[in-house]
Amino acid sequence: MAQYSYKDTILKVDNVNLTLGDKVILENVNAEVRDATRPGSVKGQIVGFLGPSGIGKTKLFEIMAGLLKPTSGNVYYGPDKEPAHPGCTGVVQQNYPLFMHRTVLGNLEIAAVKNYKNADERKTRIFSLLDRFKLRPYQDSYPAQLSGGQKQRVAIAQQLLCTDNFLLMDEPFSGLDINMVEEVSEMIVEIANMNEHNTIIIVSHDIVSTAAIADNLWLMGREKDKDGNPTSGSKIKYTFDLLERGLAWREDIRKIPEFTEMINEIRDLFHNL
Amino acid sequence: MAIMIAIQMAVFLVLWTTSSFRLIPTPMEILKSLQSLIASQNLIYELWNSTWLCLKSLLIATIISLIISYATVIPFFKPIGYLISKFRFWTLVGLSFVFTLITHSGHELKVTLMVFGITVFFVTSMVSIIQSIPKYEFYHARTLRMNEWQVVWEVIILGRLDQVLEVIRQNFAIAWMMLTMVEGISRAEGGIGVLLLNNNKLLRLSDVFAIQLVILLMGIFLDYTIGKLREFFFPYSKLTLEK
Ligand SMILES: Nc1ncnc2c1ncn2[C@@H]1O[C@H](COP(=O)(O)OP(=O)(O)OP(=O)(O)O)[C@@H](O)[C@H]1O
Ligand SMILES: [Mg+2]
Repeated sequence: MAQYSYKDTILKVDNVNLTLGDKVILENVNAEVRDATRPGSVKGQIVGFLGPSGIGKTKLFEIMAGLLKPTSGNVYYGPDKEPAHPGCTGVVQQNYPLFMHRTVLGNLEIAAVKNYKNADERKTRIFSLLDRFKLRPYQDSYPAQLSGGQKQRVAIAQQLLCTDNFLLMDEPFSGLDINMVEEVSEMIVEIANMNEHNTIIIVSHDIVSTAAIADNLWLMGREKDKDGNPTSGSKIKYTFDLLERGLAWREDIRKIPEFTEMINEIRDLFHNL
Repeated sequence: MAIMIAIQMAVFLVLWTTSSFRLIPTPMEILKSLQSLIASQNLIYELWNSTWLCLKSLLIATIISLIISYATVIPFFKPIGYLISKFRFWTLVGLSFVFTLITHSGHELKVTLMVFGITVFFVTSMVSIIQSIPKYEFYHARTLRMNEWQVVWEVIILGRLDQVLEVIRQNFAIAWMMLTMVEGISRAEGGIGVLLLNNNKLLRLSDVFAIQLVILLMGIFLDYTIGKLREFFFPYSKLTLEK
């Protein structure tokens, strides 16, 4: 089993409530990400964020990214408890919007100017990402000329150029072929492990692919009465600590029986979320 | 496509020339009228005169309209955009009197009327384009650490610039329609509208048709030119369309 220990809290969702119109969407959402460390190597954090469609995952992301003000509650970043504000975290949105009036290169350029003031350094970084994402042949294309998966990779690259430590990804695996899912998974792990404080939160309906790279899982759901009718807004109903279970940071994860067991456990829980 | 249009045109021309309905002048009569209009009534000059009036008004109206439309992203200016779009339902006829009082020359009056007429439509289209920008586009720009001014610049101004040209194109059509009417209100300076009205009064039917044909062709040509400008400056604007 991998050696690990938890250090500071680097992200905290503190009693977040969200009401839209007269609809309670989120109710008392609490969650935190702690810096998971492993002696002798740099380990970032990857949280898999699961839940049925329409439960409020995207809304929570918008709140965490400082784009949407919650009705009450707070989200804090870092050991200094900095409140969420736009730009504090990268967000790859569900429909991966891009600047349609700019080429792929233009889209990346504008995202990189804040973090890379030096033009040469910027170019190097952009081209390494273009190669990484197999986008080099499309650098002069407009977003309208790209496939869904290509657009998504540009959107991811754009956020990578701009963010410091945090990245929220809404459905990074949707619309990708299995090779690309593997590629994106590897890349997520690699980005996470570039810095001890790097934290990537992934919303996905692909439980297996998400659990395979995550160190923690959040399951969002609502309280229900005996007949299965929801009686509250959504919250993080269950969390899974994969480090504790010895199911994180492992290459061979899919072959481990306990992993399959856990996936089945999650599948069962889903019916009641 | 070109062949189809050619065939349709040919059929139309044959029907027209052989038609026994004598009220409408034949193509030959119109061509002759055209010749005499150019020779004795300065058709080319008047056409240029009117086109210049139209384009000048369009340019001024575009600048005013864009300033107003972009300003509506600031809540304070929102009601102004709304109000201006309601002026579309105000007819120019009564207004011309007011504008006569505040302008100094016939030319100025015509430009003012045209600018007013275009602006109310332009602002309406532009405001609706700006308001239909989905929230996630703003979110996207904000997550890239742009401040609110940069968001407005990138998403609203640059991101919709190709659509401005489309609005200009539509408003050019409106302006072109208004032209003859406005020229009728202040005739001193001439223009193709005045030429049309004079010949209409004298019941010179083939002349009237010739002038209308010229107006139509010039309108189509300019419309086409604006369309080409859009393709040239904004190559991405047509990429998502079927053709
Ligand atoms: N403006 C709004 N007013 C009222 N309810 C809204 C509004 N916007 C979204 N909702 C509701 O909020 C809930 C949560 O939406 P959200 O987009 O966060 O779901 P999600 O978990 O991301 O779903 P998916 O997995 O399908 O993307 C949905 O039930 C939706 O109907
Ligand atoms: Mg969603």
